[in-house]
Amino acid sequence: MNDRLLALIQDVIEEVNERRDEKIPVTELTSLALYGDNGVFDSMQLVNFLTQVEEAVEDEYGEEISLTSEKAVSQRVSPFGRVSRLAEFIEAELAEAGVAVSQPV
Amino acid sequence: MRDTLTERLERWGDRTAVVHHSSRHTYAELAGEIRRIETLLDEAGVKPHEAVVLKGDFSFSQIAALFALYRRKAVVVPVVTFTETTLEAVRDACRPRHVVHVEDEVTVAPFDSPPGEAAELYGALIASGSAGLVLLSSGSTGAPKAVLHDFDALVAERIGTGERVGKKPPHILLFLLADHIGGINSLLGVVRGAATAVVPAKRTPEEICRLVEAYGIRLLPTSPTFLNLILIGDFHEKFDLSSLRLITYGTEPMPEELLKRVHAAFPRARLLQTFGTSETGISTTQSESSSSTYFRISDEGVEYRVVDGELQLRTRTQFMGYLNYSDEAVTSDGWFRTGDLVEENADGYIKVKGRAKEIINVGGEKVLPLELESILMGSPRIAYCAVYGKPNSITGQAVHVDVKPDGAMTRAEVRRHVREFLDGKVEPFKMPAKVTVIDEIPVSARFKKQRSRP
Repeated sequence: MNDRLLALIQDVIEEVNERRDEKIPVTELTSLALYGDNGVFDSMQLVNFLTQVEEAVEDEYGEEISLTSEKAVSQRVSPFGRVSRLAEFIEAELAEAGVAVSQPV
Repeated sequence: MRDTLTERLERWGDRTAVVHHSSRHTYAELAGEIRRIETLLDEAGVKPHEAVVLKGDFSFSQIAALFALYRRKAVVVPVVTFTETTLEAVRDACRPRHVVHVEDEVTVAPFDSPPGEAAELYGALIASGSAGLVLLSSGSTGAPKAVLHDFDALVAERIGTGERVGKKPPHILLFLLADHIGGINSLLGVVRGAATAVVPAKRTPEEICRLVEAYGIRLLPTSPTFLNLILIGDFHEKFDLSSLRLITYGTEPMPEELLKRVHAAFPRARLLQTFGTSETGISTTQSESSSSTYFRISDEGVEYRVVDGELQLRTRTQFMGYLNYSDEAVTSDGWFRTGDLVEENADGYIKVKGRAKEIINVGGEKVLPLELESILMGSPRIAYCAVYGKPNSITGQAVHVDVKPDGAMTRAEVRRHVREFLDGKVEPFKMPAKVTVIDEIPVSARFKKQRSRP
């Protein structure tokens, strides 16, 4: 699990929390369910959250990836189930684009 | 009408008709140039009801050639610049036989287009004995639509109802292009009032403001996006624009907050929404006030109705049909579906809320770009913004916004500001998912806002 990516996701969740009454807990981040059973977001909130993560990834790694693509949605294991899965999906997408997450630009 | 037009031009003799590149041409000269070009058309074998491309933007010769072609009952296809797409659309849809060039000296040359009888396309014009006018309406996708008008009907509507000639000819800026319904409308307005057409060398905010100052121009017909470019560049402060009495804005809807900014920058000018389409012509309108985006269509030649929120028009200057598209935009009882979504208030004024095809569908909820843009323009930190939908696999589409901040702001600051500014003002589903910071403002050739397309 890549800590830089987790920190990046945590930053986005904290930004989302600023405009949210019911705060999303970040204490057990990796197992946090984003969408679906016990998920913290509805579909619209999920898209907004994912877009913010995309922006953060672009800022951090200089690479534009899509987290709302058909590919993301049709993964056998959903990247939106838990934060850890999302981080793995981002890492794989970045690797495909030739960016190693441990070496930010 | 054909003879009335030239008689009038001759009668106005020494009044200045056209100012272009600081050279002046009188109405008598214009009448002479029209006759000269008519001879050129005859020599080249241009026949009535045949399509002729008129290449180039407004100039003394272009204006003369337009009227010469009208007098010779040609089907005029004005084109300011040819792209591959427009060239192809013109060739296949209009089947022109000649092209008139006006850039240096006026020449009439053959135009290579597929064979075919003009009667198939222009039979209705032959029957009524009218000249034709084809305007290319640039859609966002596909080939441009070739909109066929009865040119006689347009001329009769604009200048057939008698003269409106004052002692001192007003200067009218031909801001809109020569192949645009608004440009043709401005030109006919010039001739109606024996006014002076000022042709800009280029259509930058700086050049337009320079001309307003130099010629003491009273009427500026323009678009909301162009007005915003003037404000962003502070050109209203760099030039003396106090001569402006009336600023009309059209071609796209006006965001309310931008109208407030324009009103504050030009407190002495009346602000008027104009409304028109390539298909129905320009309608006479009255704005509720200079600070209101509500307006009323007050035109004898125009009927309107609102069906399912969409504005439909039936006008005396309605087009005859598309040369290259089906006429599904016209209802069986002859109303043109504008594609503009409107709202009516209790006093019968209407307001354009946006284009039907610009609706963003976020998981079944509908968002109109103009609503968000109007609110965002209320922020003093935002100079420009454009809202559009982008597809995704979760909610169908998501709301994206491009923002040019007023002053130096980082990407993160802009994103935060947009979200904070909209928070509590709009429903959560309207909140932009993505905020992109831009430096340059993209403007279409028609001076409209260019929203990014998915």
